[in-house]
Formats: sequence, C-alpha cells, structure tokens
Amino acid sequence: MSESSERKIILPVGDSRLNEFIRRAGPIITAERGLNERSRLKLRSLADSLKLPNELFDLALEHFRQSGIEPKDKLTRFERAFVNWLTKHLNSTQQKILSTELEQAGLTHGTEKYQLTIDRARQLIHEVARDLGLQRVSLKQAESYLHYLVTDQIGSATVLNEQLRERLYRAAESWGVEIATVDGYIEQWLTENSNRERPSGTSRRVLALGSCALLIGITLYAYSIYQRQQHDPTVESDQNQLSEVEPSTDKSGAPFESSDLPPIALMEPHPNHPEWSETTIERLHAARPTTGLLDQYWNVLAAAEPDGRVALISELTASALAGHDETQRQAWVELLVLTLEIEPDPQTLETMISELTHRITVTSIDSSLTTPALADDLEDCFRSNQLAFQVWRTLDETSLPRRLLGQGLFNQTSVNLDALASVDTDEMFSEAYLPLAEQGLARQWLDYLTTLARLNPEQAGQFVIPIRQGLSDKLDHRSLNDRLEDILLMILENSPQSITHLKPVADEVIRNADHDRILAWGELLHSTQDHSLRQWLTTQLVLLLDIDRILGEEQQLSLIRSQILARQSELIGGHHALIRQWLTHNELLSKLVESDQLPNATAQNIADIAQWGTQAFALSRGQFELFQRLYQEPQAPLAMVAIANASRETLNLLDDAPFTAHATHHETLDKALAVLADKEVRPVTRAAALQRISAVADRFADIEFEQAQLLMTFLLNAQSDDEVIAIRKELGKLRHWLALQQALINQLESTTAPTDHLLTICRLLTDESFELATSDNWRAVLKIQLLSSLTGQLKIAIVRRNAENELLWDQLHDRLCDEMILRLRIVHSDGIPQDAYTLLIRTMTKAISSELNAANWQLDDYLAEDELHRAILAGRRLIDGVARAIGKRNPQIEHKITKIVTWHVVHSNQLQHYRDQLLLNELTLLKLWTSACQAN
Amino acid sequence: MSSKLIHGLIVGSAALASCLFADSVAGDVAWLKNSQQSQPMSGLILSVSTDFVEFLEFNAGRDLNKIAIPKSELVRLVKTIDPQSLKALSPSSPEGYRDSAEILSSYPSDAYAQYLAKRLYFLGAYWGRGEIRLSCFRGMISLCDDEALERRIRAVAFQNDPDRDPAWLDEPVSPSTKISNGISVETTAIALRLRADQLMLLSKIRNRAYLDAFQLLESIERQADRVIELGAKELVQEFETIRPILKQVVAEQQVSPEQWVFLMSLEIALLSERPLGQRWNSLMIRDQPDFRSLTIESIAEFPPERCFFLNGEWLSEQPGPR
Repeated sequence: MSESSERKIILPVGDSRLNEFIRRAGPIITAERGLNERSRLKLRSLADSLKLPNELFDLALEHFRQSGIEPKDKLTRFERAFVNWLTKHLNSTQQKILSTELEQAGLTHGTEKYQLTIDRARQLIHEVARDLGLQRVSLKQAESYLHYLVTDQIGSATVLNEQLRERLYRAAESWGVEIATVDGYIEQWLTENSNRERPSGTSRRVLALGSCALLIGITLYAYSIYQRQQHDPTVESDQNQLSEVEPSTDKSGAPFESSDLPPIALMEPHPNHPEWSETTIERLHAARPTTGLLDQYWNVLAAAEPDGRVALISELTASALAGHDETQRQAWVELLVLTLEIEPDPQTLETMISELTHRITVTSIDSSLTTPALADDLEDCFRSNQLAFQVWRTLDETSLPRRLLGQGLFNQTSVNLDALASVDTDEMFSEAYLPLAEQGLARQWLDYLTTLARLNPEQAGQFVIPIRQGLSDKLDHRSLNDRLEDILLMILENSPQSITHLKPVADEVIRNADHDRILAWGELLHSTQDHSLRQWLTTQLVLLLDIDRILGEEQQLSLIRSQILARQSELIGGHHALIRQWLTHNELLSKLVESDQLPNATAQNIADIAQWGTQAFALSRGQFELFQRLYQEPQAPLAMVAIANASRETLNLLDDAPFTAHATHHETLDKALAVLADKEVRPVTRAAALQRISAVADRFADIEFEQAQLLMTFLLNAQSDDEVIAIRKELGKLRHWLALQQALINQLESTTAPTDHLLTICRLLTDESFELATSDNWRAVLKIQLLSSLTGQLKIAIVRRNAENELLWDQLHDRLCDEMILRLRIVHSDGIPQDAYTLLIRTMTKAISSELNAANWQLDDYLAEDELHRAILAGRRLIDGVARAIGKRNPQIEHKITKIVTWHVVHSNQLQHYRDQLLLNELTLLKLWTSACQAN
Repeated sequence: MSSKLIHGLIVGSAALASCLFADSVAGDVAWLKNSQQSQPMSGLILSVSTDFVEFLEFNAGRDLNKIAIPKSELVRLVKTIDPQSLKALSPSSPEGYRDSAEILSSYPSDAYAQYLAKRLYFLGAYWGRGEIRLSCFRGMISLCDDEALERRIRAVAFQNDPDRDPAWLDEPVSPSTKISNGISVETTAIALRLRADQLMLLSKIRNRAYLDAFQLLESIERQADRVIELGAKELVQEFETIRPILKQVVAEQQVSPEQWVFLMSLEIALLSERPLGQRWNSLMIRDQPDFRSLTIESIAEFPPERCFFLNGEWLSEQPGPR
C-alpha cells in the first residue's frame, strides 16, 4: 500500500489508559529523538504500566508514526542553519574527536555568522558532535594524552624514526594538539633518554623488545578504546550534554556507595602505590581522562593494603553484573582491567581473579535453595562469564592478569582461551569462545540437575523450567531437550507427581523423543502407578506412536506396549532379551505364565491368551520377524470385530436416550397413546398424536411393551392418508424401541393390515427391505425375517454396550481359528483347512507330533457331545503333542513340561464349563511354548 | 483263594435259594409277615440276636436302610452273602472281583446283587490288567443303565485296549431303546406338540404372560423328558439348549437383551425347522458335558484306592493319622 493511500488511524475515544499513554508518550518520543528502538522500549514499559492492551498500543504507535514522530523543532532558523553548517563541517574534517580547535572554530562561526550566543553555540556544537558520534576532548586532556603517547611509544629510544614521528603527528592532529607541542614532547623525551645510563647490549635488546611489545600493547589498547568509543552504538549518554572523557565528578554511576569502601578523597597530587613503576604511574595518569571512575578510586588502588582492591574487584564485578547500562558497564570493565593490570602483588592478583570468576559456577546441591535463588545463580553464572571474558579480552595480551584470568576461565568452562586465540582470528575468536564456554557451562548446569534429580527429584522438578529458560539460548534446541528428557525421566520415575507442573516442558520434549527415549517413556508407563503420570504418558505416547485416539484406554495401552516391545527388540536384539522383555512388559502375560491361577474365562481373555500363545510359538520357532509383526499388530478386541462385522448401519437399540424424559414427556406420551387408542378420534388427530410421540421419542430409551402393543396396533391399522403420511414421516424416529420391534413380531400373525402397508411398517421400523413370500406361510417367513433382523441388531447393540458379554463366543471361534492358522503357517503345514476349528487343531497336532494316531481322534469323536466339546478334546491332544515335542527337543526342561501337563490335567478334571476348558487349553499351550522359548 | 471262597459260598447259598425263590435273588433276603410286597426284602443281614435281626435293606438307588426286624415278624430269613468273604477280596487278585461280579450280575432283578456286581467289576477293571480289565469293562457296560456313563466306559475301555478294537465305540444302547427299539409313534407325536408348545411359550414370554409361561414350560419339560426317556434326544435338542434360559426367564419374569437373542434364535429355529447349529454362542449355554479325563477312576462314583467293604457298601478308607 502506498503511503498516500495509507488509511488514516483514528484512535478510539474514551479510553483513559490510551489518553494517558498518548499524553505521556510525547515527551518520551521527543527525548529519544523519534520513534526508535529506545523510545519503543520505554513506550512499551509505559504501556505495560498502564495495562494498555496490545491492540491499543499498536494503534497508538501507528498513530505516532502517521502524525509525525519527530519532536517539534525547537531550533530557530539561525540555529538550524548553524547546525546544518556544523554537521557538514565536522563530516568534512573526517575527525572522530571534537578537538578544542574544532570546537573553537565552531564557536567563532556560530557567534559571528549566525548571531548565536557562546553558550547556545557550544550547546549546539555538543549536540551535533554527539549525534555524529564524536568524543569531546579538552586541550589539556589532549596534550596529556599526546605526552603519554610520545613517552610510551618512544620508550627508551634515543632516536625517533620518521614513521613513528608521522604517526605521532597524525595523532596530534586528530586530538587537536599543536605539532610544535608534540615536537617539544618528543625532543624532551629523547633528550632524557640520552641522558639516562646506557644499558648493556643484552639488556638493551630485551628492553627494545619489551618496548616494542609495550608500544604495540599500548597502541592496541588505545586503539581498542578508541574503536569502542567510535563504533559501540551503545556508548550513548542519556544526557543532552556531550559526555566528557574527563574524570567524572558525577558519582551516580559509581559501582558502590561510599559507605561500602573506605572514604575516598580525591587528593592532589594523586598518591602512588609504593610498588607502582613509573610506567604504571604514567599509564594511570594517561588513563585518567578516559577511565571515568579512576580518580574516584585512585586511593583504593594506591593503598598499600590490597584488601580494598580485592573488594573493589568484587564490587565492580557485582555492579557490572547487576547493571544494564552498557556505558556504565563499560566504565566498570575499564576500571576492572586497569585494577588488574596495575596490581603489583601476584597473590592479590590471584585473589582478584578468583573474585572475578567465582560466580562462573554451578550452584551447589542445597535442599533449601529456592527457585528464584536458583534462577539468579544461573543468570549470574553466564553474565559473570561474559564479563570475565570481556575483561580478559581487554587485558594486555602478555600480562599476568590475562594469563591468570585465562586460567581461571579455563578452570570454570574448560575452554582454553590461549589455544583458541592462537588458531583463530580475533573476530572468529570472540565468536568462538562465548558459545563454547556457555555450552560447557550449560552442560554443567544440566549435570547439576541430573544429580539433583537423583538426590532430590521433587526439588529438581521445581528447577527444570527455570534452568531450561536460562539455557534456552546456550545450547542448541535438540541437545537441550535431549538432556532434559533424560532428566525428566529420572524425576518422574521417582517423583511422578511432578508431572503436574512439568507438563509444559515435558509435552515438548516427549514430542521429539528419539528411539531410545520412546522406550524409556514406555518403561516409565509400565512401571509407574501414578494415575496422572499414566494418563499423561498414555496421551503422549498415543500421539507419538500414531495410535488411534478413538480406541479405548486398555487397547491404547496394549498397542503402546506392543510398539515399545517391537522397538526394544530392534534395539537390543537377541533371543533371550526379547523373550524377557516380551514377558516383563506385559504384566498380565508374565503373571499368567508364572502363576498357577486361572483368569476369568471371558471370550476376550481367551482370545488374548491365544494371541500370546501364537507369539510364544513364533518365538520358540525362531520366527522373530513374524513375532514382531504379530506383536506390533495385535488383534482387535472381539467386541470391536463383532461391531465391525455389522454390514450396515445398526439401530440404536439399548442405547441410553440422548435426553432424559421428565414428567411432562411421560404425560405427553401417555396422552398421545390414549388418543391413538381412541377409535372415535379423527384420523388427523391421531396423526398429530403420532407426531407428538415422535417428538419425545429421543427421551425414552424404550417404552413399555403394553404401550408398544398399543402403538403397533395403531400403526398396523392406520388407513387414512393423514395417518399414513404421519407414519411414513415419523416412524423412523421410533426404531430404537426394542419393545416396538417385539410388538410388530407379536402382532404379525394376527394383523389384518394390507400386505403393502405391513411391509411399509416393517421397512420403516427396521430400516430393512422385506419381500412377501408367495407361499401360504408368508407370515411365518416374514416373522423369521423380522426375528433374524432384530436378533442381529440386538447382538450388535449388546456388544456395543458391554464388551464382556455372552455373545462373543462365535467371534472367539473365528479368532481361535485364525490363531491356529497362524500357528500352522509357523510350522509350514500344508493344506490348512478353513473354518473348522477342530480340524485345524488336529492338523496342527499332526504337524507337531507324529506319535498321535487317528484312533485318538476316533475316540474323541465318539466321546464329544458337540463341536465345542470335540474342539476341547482335540486341544488336549495338541497339548500332549506339544509337550512331547518340547520335552524331546529340550530334555533339560522335561521336569517343567511335566509339571505344566500335570497342572493341566488336574484343572481339566475340575473345571466344568466350556469356557474354562477353552481357557485352560490355550493357557497351557502358552505356558508350554513360553517354556520352550526360555529353554532355547 | 478268596474268590473260590465266595464263589463256593454264593453258589451254595444260591442253590438253596433257587429252590425257594426261582433264582431271582442272590443277596440276603427276608420275608415278613403281612407284607404287601410280593418280593422279599433284599439286602444284607448284619447281625441276628435273640429277638431281632438287624437288616440292611437295599433300596432302588444305592441307599442302604438299616432296620431291626423282630423275629416275630419274620417268615423266613436266608443268608447268602458273607461280608467277610467280600472283605477278603484283594487287589492282588483282581480276577476275584471279576468272578464274584459275574455271579452276582446274573441276577438282574436283584438290585443289591447288581449294585455289588457293578462295583466288583469296577474294582476288577481298576486292579486288573489285560483281559481281566477288558472283561470287567464289558461287565460294566452290560450292567450300565446310563447312556452317558456307558459311553464313557466304552471310551475308557477303548483307550485301555491295546488293539483299539473299534467295537468298543459302538453307540450305547439306552434302556428305553432296549425296550422300544426305535423312535415310537408316541415320540414323534410328543415332538410335534413340543414345537407348537415352545412357540406358544415364546409368545407368552413376549406378551409378559409369565404365569401361563410357567405352566407351559413345566408341561414342555415333562414332554421333553419323556422324549429323552424314549431315546429321541435329538428331537428336543433345541429345547435342551435353551432350557436353562427359559427356566430363568420364567422364574425371574423378565428377559434381558442377551436372553432375547437366545429366545429369538430358538424361535427362528422352530419356525424355520432348522437346528440351532453348532455355533459357540448356543453351545455355551447348554448343560456342560463331563470334561474329566478318560481315566478308570472317572467311571465310578468312588475312588478305588484302599477300597473296602463295610456295612454292605464299598467304601474308601479315610486317611487317618499315621
């Protein structure tokens, strides 16, 4: 959108918070000279304090942007002209320092050409210089610095080369110092050098080298300060006045109150520490203009006792860590560097380094540690590292403090700064160290959390979130989450209730869990008894393993178990490990195998046991791939199969009514039925009554049989168009009434209704089509059809309502056939019969053991009272064959096999129901095949 | 030795008795004065005192009724069984059991002799081997009056026959069949009425007429029992399958959805004249068969181990303190 076409923002009226924000935002924008990052931050803070909604805040900012963000121009026409001239002038000189000379020229120009007062001209010069990023240096300061530069760079030389001289001249020019003055310094220093005692050859060479090093150091130091001053965008004063490099008398920026240290009196002349060298003294004096806090703490530095200086380091470090003003922080860093560099006592220096670095550490295990205190420690650790590194970088490369600090940092972070510096460029180095060191520290914090998770899991649970927040930008996301995942596993294993407050982080890490950790979460689900944790783990693992969320909890758990086991088998491999895990990961299975108790003989239990039996058989035959496939794809519950087998949409028989019937609904139903029963009532009234019944039908799960009879009588006898239309329209809403279906069957033989009407009623009520038989007994045929339809529907409704019902035995038959077919495939049996369970068992028996003969089956056929009995007897033959085969193959477990067979015989003689016998057979096979697995 | 003893004893007694009672009894017998029964009391004389005879009367079943008969009431008392000789039979000579059983089993109208014979055959089968065992099985089969038990004895015998003679597995001949030798006209008539009555019963249940249903069910049960008695069990197979549910529904006067499924299945079977079939849902609700293993122990009502004869019965010694 073009600017001209930009829609004008209209602020909503009447919002006191917005009005207040607009009122107070103006000065901020003006003070910050427009809508920039700083002003935005302040405005954000203001908005927060006023609880201004984000939408209004954004609107207001847009309003400011459209209405002009610049503060109103307070300059007069002449002032504006002067500022323009001065900006151009200073840019043209390409100076980075506002020297006295430049300032003086500006003042002259401002007063003479633009009729400004001296003060106003100076004010404007300072403002422009600040905007252009120029530092202001007094002539005295500049001369002092040049003097220092001359002495430092010439050192003890008696002859000055031209290159150095040129460089000093350029420096003088930059600082606004007369060339003659610099020449004077040079000549004076050279003369003094000449007058000094001439050192020996070796010493001279050493001195020369040292001088060169010092010179380079000083140059680099000066250059670094210079560069920082030039390029650091954060070096910006809030004051309108140009910040002076001169020692500040403003103590507001002092890192500590005067009461914290011995009273400091700025003394003239500055006292010196007895061990300070001349170079140090000169350096300190030279640094006074640029190191703002130096004069303030001069006496501390010069004191003979080192305690004050150690305290100074401690306080400067604390202040630098606490402060957020970069300028102040920079000043503290400079003083820290200087304090370290001039420290004459190596032992004190070590103490100072320790003061500077002791926070770069992980907090100790402490059960009383609070979460806020931990967060502070964490923040201090990383900020201390950054500060120490900044100090280290600023320190002279060859100095002892730098070496000691490098060692201190190495001790804390395990990053060798010197090694790093030797291979990388400076820029790369600075980029390299902090991430390396911070990664090391982050790992230490995670180690700490790991230990804590072991010792005090509840406290560790409290610390996870703050530590994660603190480390979020120190380690890459993946590494951090991986470590946290391990820690969470430890915490939740021992303190499962911690899941309640760990969910935000746990949700994220588990979603990205890798193979190993998925197994670990699965283990946790298997072992924990905590309901909340189980629930959370189930939900997460269902998502993670892509399990259907519609399934019931038990089935979900079963699928999770199977997938976890399958993954474990992939991971670990090995027959025995696989069997062990297969057994241990299914509590019910392991209990069944180890215990002599029999579980409830429900159809589903038998199906499950048969399924595990097939898995055990596959394992015992070394068919691991098939085992894994069987385990990963467990059979659906029988009830689900029964429902799924329904070929069409089923009626809602036996379902609870979606709405509860109240007294009024009962009254409506009763009255409407009374109308239907009244033969004197007009057909249209009866049709209306049927409509009223259908309107309340979803409030009744079923009706009384007498009511259903009455209603069916009306339905079958209805003749008028009004009634028939109403029936066609409304009867479908009454399909869920089982009693009505029964009433239709009941009246079928006696009704005199026309056949087409009767068929319509049948179709509307059952949602199925019927045809009338041509034979005389068409009523019986129709009744059979209706009974078959209703029986089928009712079965499905029963199964849907209760998965543990008595109508799943047919499904179990089919399931056991499937299992036996699988077993036959495992033994590579040819000619697998279909859908004849007994025949399947016998084929399996024949495949397992050749010792059995047809006479046994002849005997079973003779004895069996029905097909199920025959299957149970065949199952016993199979058990016998399996036991013999296993015993022959594994004589070492013969005793165990005999024990299982005896157990089977004892129970088979006691149990008196088909279901128990079926269960016993399948359980015995499971025990036998599991024993075979373990023996292999 | 013992078998010879008892054999001689029984034969001697029988010779005497046969003169008097046309060889219809083999046990101890007592005739009472003024008795309305044509047959003497059958059982075992326990003791004889001056005034009384302590007698163990054997009833139709296996119960033994101990009575003291005043001598003044006795017309005649014949003692043919020596309990001591029965007690003397030993597992080490299983043929003794068989031989005694064979003699006793030759008196089909003497219930007590039949009782003793069955047990003696059983003990002979249990302790005997080879042909002795197999002959005992044959004896048991010949005396068996229960079809299911006979089937079981035959199966056990087949299992114990090294030759696996398939003749063992012939269909049992039920007592009624033995009598009528086939499905009678009466059976067919009852079966037809049963079908109509069952449909009526289901209609009554659907109409919640439980009192009528109760009476009708009783009638149906009687008819079914009669059909079974007549040896045509297959004609009432559907009813027998659903019978437990029908009884429960009528007794509780309510039908659960699950029960409706079974009742309607029966109704479909009756209307379509097709059997319910061998689906497991239906089979599960049937009376359950005997699941015990085919061991010899499973064909007798008492354990043969340490079995002894006492007070007219074969009993198992109770384990006492050692």
